[in-house]
Amino acid sequence: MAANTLSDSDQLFSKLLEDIIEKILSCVTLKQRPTVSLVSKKWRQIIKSFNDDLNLVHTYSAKIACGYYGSSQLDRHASCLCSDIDFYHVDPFIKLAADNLSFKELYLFIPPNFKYCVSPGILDSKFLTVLHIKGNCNMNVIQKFNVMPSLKELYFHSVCIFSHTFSNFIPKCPLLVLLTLINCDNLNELTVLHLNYLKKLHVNTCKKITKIEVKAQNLLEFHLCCLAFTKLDLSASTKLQLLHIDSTNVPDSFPHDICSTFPSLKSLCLSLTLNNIIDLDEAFIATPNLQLFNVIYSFKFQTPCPIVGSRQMEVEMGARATNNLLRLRTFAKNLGENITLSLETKTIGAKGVTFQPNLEPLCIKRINLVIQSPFKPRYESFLVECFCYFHPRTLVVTVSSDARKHDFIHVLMNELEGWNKDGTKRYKRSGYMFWYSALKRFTVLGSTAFARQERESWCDKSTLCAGSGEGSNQKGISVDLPNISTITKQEREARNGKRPLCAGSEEGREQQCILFVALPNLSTITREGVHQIKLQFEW
Amino acid sequence: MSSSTKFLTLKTCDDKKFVLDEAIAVRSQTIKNMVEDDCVSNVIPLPNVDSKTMTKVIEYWKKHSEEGISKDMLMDFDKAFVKVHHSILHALILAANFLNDKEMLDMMCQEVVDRIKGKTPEEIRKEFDIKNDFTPEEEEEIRKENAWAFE
Repeated sequence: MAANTLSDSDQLFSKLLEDIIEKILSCVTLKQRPTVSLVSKKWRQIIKSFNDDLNLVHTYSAKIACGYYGSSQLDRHASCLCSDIDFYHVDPFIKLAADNLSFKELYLFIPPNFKYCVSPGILDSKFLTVLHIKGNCNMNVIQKFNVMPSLKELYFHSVCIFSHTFSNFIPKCPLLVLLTLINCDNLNELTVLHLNYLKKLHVNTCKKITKIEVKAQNLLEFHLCCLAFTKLDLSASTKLQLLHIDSTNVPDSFPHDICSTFPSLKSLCLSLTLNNIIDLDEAFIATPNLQLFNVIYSFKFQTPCPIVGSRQMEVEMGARATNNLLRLRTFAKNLGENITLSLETKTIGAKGVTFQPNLEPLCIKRINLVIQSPFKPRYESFLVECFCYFHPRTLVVTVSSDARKHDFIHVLMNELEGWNKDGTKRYKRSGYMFWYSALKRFTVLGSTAFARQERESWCDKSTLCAGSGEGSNQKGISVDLPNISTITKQEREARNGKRPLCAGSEEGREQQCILFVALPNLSTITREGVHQIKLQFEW
Repeated sequence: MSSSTKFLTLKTCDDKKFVLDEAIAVRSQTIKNMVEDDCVSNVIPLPNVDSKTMTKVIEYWKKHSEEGISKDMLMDFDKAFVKVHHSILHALILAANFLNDKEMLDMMCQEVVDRIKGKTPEEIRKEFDIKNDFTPEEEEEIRKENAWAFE
């Protein structure tokens, strides 16, 4: 064995690898196969080499209800049952059960406008591992469910199942690993008991849920997206690592006990339009394992966030309005330095800036600002306020095309230009404008909707330029403008009789340049599409 | 050395030696065959396994050979054992394959399947360091063919 020459063992090696990949891919469910075959040509080839008959699945369309069952390893005869729109009353379940076939995976799509009553025979399958039902399927006709000893994955979309039917059914799937319930509107009480293999639970509904009780000791992920819920009991799932809740209110007894109940929580995402955030006020939560914390939208921030994680914790905060920065600042106080803040300007103007001189700006990782409004927000005062509370290492501003008339870049340029030679600011709020000195890199990513012809026509002109920045300790701003430009600025400066703009690409000059603008594809200002500006800072 | 316990010396590709109880080492079908065929000299060379991976493998073998260990404890151990970076997982799969330990190989492969689950092609590529060799058109074609699965 050791005597093999290197090239031989190399060949052996790659051969073995393929065997292993094949082994792995044969365990992937049928529904996942197309996704997996998109990974690479090699993978696609392997997937294609599996001899299952997927042809009938390909004919699936909105008009055809398709019951599909895949082969198990033992039984390579894959088969499929389709009921056309005219024969929708054909019950693939009964058919399959009557044929006494051992199918492994079943995907049933019921066309819109059709109603379907499930028949009990089908749920007898001893080999079924995956069951997906999408559409108006009535499960409630079944009085007594049989045990499904192999079922691992259950996916119900728009299935009509009442709470009591569900609570009868679920205990019959003892090996369930994945449970997904989407738009099962009759399900307002969710009781999942004693599923010790359950790892992921996903509930998504636009209705209210009165009670969720999950007793699954090995649950790792829980996603809940619903209008409102009143009671959530996950207390048995002590190994929970991921908790995502998207709802309008926080239920009772939540989240006071997050740290003690879920000691291994790694990711917490709360997209709540919270009304009773007061609940959070008195809590103090220490979760040393938390790696990702996500709060999105309309938080009524009043106090520092009660959740204290490690300093390395990734935090994402989102808010629709930009006029509650102070609250965000207060909330973010204990959240470490890896904060990403996502802001959207939807309000027309920032309200009057009120400064809190005692408040140290918080060093954070990133601010993503989306400028939506076609109205002119007061960018200047927003910038001042923003940098007063936060020192982001990266600021990415996305300007939607609607907001093009008041280009953020220009406001920014004006701000940068507003410096006097001695480094003082001409504007009255200069005391707060320290951010310029930390600016390390400035990149403008233009719109993709830029007309190609236009770009080419400007390509030849070497219009590289750089402004001079005496007295500034700025390290240089580079503006990569493949698609958009700052032509107006150049023109203005030339008119004002300032020093002619010059190429600032030499390395030695970088320290002196306030503005280092590289414009290989300089164009006329294109105001189409979305612009993105990226600023990087060293505080 | 008592007569009841025999020890084997395994040598990994980076020339590290591991002395191991034969009863444990024969979890590897490859080693077992060599022992049975009596072609074992002093040292068994493992040209496809490095010492770092071998340490993990031996950790697994020892745990699974412990007497009186409960099923739950083993389950917890296995769960923690597979939670490694994909490069280590990859090395472990190759090692398990070379050593021909089916139980271990199955477990590692299942872990890969679990990691694939629910991910987009892009995420899978990232997870396993795979290069995308499809053109956007080819990708679109496959997506169209299998529209039912991408809902």
